[in-house]
Amino acid sequence: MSDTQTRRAQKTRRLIFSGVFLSITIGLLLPFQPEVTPSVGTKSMFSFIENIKPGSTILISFDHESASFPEMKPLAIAVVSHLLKRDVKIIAISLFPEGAGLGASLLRRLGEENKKTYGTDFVFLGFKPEPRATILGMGKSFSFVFPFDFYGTKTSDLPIMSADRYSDVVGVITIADGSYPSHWIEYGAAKYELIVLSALAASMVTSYDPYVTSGQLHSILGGLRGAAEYESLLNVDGGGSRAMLAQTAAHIFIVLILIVGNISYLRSRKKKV
Amino acid sequence: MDSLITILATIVAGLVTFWTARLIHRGRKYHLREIAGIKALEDAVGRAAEMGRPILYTPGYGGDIQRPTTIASMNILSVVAEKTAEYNCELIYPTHDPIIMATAQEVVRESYSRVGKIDRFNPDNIYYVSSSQFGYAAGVEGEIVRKKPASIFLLGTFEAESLILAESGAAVGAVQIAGTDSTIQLAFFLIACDYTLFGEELFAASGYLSGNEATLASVWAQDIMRILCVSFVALGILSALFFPESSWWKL
Amino acid sequence: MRKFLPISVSFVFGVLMFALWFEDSESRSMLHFTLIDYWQIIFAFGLLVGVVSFISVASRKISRGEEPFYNGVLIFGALLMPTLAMIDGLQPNSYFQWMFENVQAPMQSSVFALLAFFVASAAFRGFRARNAQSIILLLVALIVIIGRAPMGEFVWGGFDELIQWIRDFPSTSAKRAVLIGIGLGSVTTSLRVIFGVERTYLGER
Repeated sequence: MSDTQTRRAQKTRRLIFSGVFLSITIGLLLPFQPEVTPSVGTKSMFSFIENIKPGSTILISFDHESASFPEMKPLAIAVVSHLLKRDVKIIAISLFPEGAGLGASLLRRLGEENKKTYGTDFVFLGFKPEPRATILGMGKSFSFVFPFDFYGTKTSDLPIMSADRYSDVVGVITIADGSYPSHWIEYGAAKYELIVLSALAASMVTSYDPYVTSGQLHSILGGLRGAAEYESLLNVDGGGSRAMLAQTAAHIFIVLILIVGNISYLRSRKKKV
Repeated sequence: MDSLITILATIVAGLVTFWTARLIHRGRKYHLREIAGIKALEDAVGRAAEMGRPILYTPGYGGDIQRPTTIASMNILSVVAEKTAEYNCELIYPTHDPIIMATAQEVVRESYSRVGKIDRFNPDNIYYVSSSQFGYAAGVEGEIVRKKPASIFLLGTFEAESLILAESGAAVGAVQIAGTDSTIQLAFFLIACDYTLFGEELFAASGYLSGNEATLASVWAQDIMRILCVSFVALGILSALFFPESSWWKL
Repeated sequence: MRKFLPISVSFVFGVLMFALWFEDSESRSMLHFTLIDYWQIIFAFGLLVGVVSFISVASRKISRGEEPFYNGVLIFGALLMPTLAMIDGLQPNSYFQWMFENVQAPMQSSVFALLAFFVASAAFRGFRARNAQSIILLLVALIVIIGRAPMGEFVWGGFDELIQWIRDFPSTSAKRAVLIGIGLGSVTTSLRVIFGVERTYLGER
């Protein structure tokens, strides 16, 4: 690449970056929320939770880091709130050290908001290293891998821990930004016939489509759009819905640069001919 | 039933692999088609030597040492390290996993030793960055921006950091050879990198480059098993079409 | 002995873990779960190796005068967080949590957010109508980008179904093909490691 070409490329890159920044900022500042229609995956996740018998227990795994928290938070809030409203008991863990702190405070806050009792209606067991070993170890019993909860209480003293095996829970929801749902599918579902559902970062959604069509993954709730769709089903206003205008603006900007890029490419090709 | 299928499939895979290994050991030739990314490998090292700039090699955030993709990536690293030693070129290897770091140090040390350049081996160039995904991404991106490597190898299991690294590499004008088993990241690599190895091409590349009999045999075994898989799928489709009352294909 | 020992250990534990995958009896479960316990312990010690290496590499670089400011910041950060945890603990209102929530998390989120910028610049360079295949790629990309934004529903009501079809059929079948190839590669590589044929991790070729 010649110096002139490099300079031109750098200039174009700066323009594109500025455009993305402006479109997202304007989208976030404007007080308007576009409506969204729930997709198949969102409806499937929603109806799964709607059909859980009140009083049953579910496992939630916060398999994400702090980096993706702005995207994962609306997803986690939508799903956990729905479960608590349906009186489903929650046993939560994290396969990431960072997910533990974030998951613990989010669960505690939502538990208090929904007037649930820690240890009876929900519990946070914390983080254990090596995801595959943790998932396989929990196959023996949850208290085998987590003898103490996140706050140091003996798990066997907590009433909610009467559900101590995979067969005692209705399934697992992995709130993930990376490849950890595949561990739940490969080890939890394959060996212990655990039903796996996932709330995923948008960038990972299509990776898991083959598992949904094969039935190994029950359903996917994907990205901020997924959160917005879920919020619309719950009829609440949340972080997902508030981000929809910014996402729309960014999508429009990318469509525009694709058009501009192709026009300039075709022009330069004509010139060469 | 699932367990039975798994055991049967593993036995078949084992038998096919041993059979191909035996054939290759007896001198049977197995031809691997040329993959553009492999051909470009030597040029990429030569380019770095000419420009007097380093080479950056990273296995991505998604893998650990148990993962076969990481092992395939180590095979390629071994060849790249030999070439960098021959061309007197600096090789930088940042990773997110301490075990991968220790293994890579051993692999590179042996490669330098094989070509008689052990004195040029610098273990500090193979280092652990962070176990946090974006801590790792930021660390590697910073290295790309500061050192401006002439060539970048992104071979292994990548997650969302793939595009950050590939775009940073493109911005400093590096030649980039990528390969991963993460299907979604392939799309990003295809756009941002010069050469991309698709999934199993990474395994084939490791066999092709190392020239190791056993590795070649396993690539051949993969081809045979692929034919078996496709035949099985085709048989299932035909059964479903012509004998809809049959159920074996619903396994 | 230097090669024999790791190869033997790989073989024994490889075969054992594979066999234990299929077991259900209580006595063998104990062995399985003991191995899993050790797996976690080894993993945790691996992290320790990383931290020691991280600090020693950065220290050596400072002593050689290589990027002293940058490496100094690295060491400072690496030591600060555990020190804060030791002084004040990990509870919700501790200094550690404050640093985590107000320094580390925003920095990491910023790096993650860079993806949005890089996706745009990569799309600008990559989606060019060069030939028939790239035109198809460009059109599918436009359909998905427009359709996945909430505005898509106002442009055309059929976007959702069309995108679902693209995801369920062309996209998923291509991904399955790649996944099958990767799966086969994984099986043969694992067999090579278990039977001691694959020795790259020992530095051999």
